[in-house]
Amino acid sequence: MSMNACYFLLTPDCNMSCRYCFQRNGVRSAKKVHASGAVANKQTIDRFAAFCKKNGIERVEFFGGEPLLYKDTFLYAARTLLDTVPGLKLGIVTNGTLIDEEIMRFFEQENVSVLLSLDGKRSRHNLMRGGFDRISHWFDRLVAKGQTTVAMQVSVTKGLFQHVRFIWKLGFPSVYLNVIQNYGWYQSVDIDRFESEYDAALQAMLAGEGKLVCAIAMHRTLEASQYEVKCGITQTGLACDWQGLLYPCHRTPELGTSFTFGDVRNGVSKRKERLCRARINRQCFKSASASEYPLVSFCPITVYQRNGNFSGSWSPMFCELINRKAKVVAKYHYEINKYCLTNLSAVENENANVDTTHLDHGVIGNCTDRQ
Amino acid sequence: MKKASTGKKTVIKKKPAVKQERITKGYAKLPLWAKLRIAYGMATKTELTEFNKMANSIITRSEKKMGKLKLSGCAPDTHCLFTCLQSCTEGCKSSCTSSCTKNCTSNCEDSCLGMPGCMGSVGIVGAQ
Repeated sequence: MSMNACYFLLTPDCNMSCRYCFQRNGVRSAKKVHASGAVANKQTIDRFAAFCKKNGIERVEFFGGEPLLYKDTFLYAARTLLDTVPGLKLGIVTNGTLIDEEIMRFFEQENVSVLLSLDGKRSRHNLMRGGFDRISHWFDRLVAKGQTTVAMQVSVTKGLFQHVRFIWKLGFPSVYLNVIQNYGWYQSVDIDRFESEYDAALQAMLAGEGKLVCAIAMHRTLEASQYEVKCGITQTGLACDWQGLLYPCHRTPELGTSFTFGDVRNGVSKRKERLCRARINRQCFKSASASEYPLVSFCPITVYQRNGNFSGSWSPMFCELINRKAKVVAKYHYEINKYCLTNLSAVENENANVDTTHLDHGVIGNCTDRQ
Repeated sequence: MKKASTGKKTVIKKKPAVKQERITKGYAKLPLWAKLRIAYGMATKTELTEFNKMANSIITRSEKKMGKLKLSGCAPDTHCLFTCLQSCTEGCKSSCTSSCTKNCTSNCEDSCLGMPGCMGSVGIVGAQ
């Protein structure tokens, strides 16, 4: 996320218990994560809105847990923010199962951009997270309102392309294939299979079936001569939790409050912020794994959760999948160039790398760092 | 029948080390997609020629921009210029300009390595 954007974690709670959710692997117990009862109160929301106004925040992304779990809180927060900060853009990362008529109308009226977690056809989606039928009746309206991107977890690599195609056929034009970062999730058989599935999906995009946002983002990344750390935590990420504490990214609250660098009442402590980001950058992105996988920015939070520090090793399977993704994108470099010129508007081309570069760092649905 | 030997030996010419280094430096500046296409053997012959040209022009451009550069320690009363100085904003620059008149390598390297954008430890002199 850029400096003028901020995540707002209304609650750590979620109504679902997805198989690959990183928050279950965190330092908090599963029970606490999914039903802590912690939620932002009105005072925190008001202060957060004032903080956004004062600090020139132009975009707020609701995040959780599941941000729609406490519906009244969500609506109060969203309306307060819109009233307080003129021109503010809102986004939400949601599993979609708690959308109702009122929420949907709010999305439509206020042009809220939605990042919907959808893992493919009913069978695959329900295997991974469940609740397909609770969201399917909103598909048409989410498509019609526009500004809805589907985040699909790679998780099971078998048949991946067919599930991407299914989402495109529903009418969602943009799919982000998010490689989940869990240690031990992928097996070696997944590597080659992923490459061929991704290759097929990319060919389908080039044939005009839909847009693979992650490929376009990767394509932009590969224009540089050196890979830059894409993790917002080292430079620009900003998140506010339900208590009004400020963190360098939306996942840092999972580590507890030791990595805060301010709060919505007193603002950001520049010194603490600098030290915090520099520490994570130095330990994680100058580590042996960082040299071994120069095309990857692995999530420091995941490393910390596993090792108790930021300098531990990165999941080799995850890193290899990202390498393969880059390989396929490089393979179709000229074709993607042509695709971008003919299919994307000037603004889309410009922003292709802005909102999605960082999705691979975690499981969306409950995790995205749209840098 | 065996041909009579002419007495000439075949000499395999090696590329001079400086030239090789120049090519390597040029390749390092190619876009990642080009490097990947080369690494995975996806680049065609025509492309490889193009990449060679691209690498050459990149390095020529950067040489022009920085003036005539020499690989060695600093000359007396000059400031050294590290390759990474282009992207480093702190550390390297500050320590170079204040104290680097004798041996730029030791002064710069320590402060520069590990800085964002640092590309290594090639000390270069004379651009100023």
